[in-house]
Amino acid sequence: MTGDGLGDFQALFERLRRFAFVVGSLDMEADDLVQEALARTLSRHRFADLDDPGRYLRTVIVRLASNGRRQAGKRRRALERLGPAAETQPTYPSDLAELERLSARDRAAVYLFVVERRSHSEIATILGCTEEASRQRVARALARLRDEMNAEAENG
Amino acid sequence: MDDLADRLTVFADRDSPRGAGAIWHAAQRAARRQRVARRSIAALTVAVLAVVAVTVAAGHRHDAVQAPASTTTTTLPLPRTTGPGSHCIAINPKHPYVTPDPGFNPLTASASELQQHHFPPKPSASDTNPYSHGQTPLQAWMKYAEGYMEGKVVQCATPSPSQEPAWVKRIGHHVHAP
Repeated sequence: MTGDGLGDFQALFERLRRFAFVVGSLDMEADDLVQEALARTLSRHRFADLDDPGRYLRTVIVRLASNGRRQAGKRRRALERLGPAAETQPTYPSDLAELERLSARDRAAVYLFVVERRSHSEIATILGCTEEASRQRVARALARLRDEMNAEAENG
Repeated sequence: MDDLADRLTVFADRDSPRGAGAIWHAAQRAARRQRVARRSIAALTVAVLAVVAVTVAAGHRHDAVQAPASTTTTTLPLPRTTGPGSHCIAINPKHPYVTPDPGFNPLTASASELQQHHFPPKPSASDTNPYSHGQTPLQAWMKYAEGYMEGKVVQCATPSPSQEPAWVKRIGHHVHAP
């Protein structure tokens, strides 16, 4: 007994988890993000009824990550208003420091384009934007990451 | 581009401490809770709307009971005084004038009939001393009697000419065109 859609989900899980890891921020566990996206999906649909569950879950993950980032920003600003915070920020676990400064949607666009080799049409569907907007988003984000990589190369 | 892809892949390629199965089951439980919560909110909303609708309907019914319908004629009894000549019989909210006694016409009634119906006695035509509003006692009486017959008299008249000031005052104030 694998359950309704468990087998399909298991097949998607590793890729979804990598995607969530890149898109989510520091205070979000990739597993939690995938679980929450799956829970939201299952609360409204049967997994087997989705045309493309992978695409659907990626869309939900991006939205959850964007919301989480917005809420984290509000929390941080509220804490700053209360006084100097002694809180220590965890280090972003990537050698690409610029990645942390990109928005969740930019990260998603870059990951889908560079790693998953998706077309701009697919990226636009996942992000809920036009193809042209997806093209611009990817180009801008890649330019920022390339600048950092070039600077690294120049510094040896 | 390939360098970036490699670095992103290495960055993202981490083992899950929980595994797909655990996440799937946890998500199913959470989804069930979310569905229940959504249904509860929907039920609560419907209940609140129903209560509001019932309250509003009850308010309308209450208003309808309080306000007389425009076609209804309600006769409200006023206290009938035992003193002679009290003519306050009833007030009709739609037509707020004293209802004449059936079959009684003060203009043609005899002095005893006037007294029997507690109507002010007819003054003598020879009494030409005008009241304070300029009419003679007979003129004031006639006007009052005509107004009474037409249902234009609103309040009691003090009947006796000996109580002239109050009577004249009432006639002067209450005998008017509808």
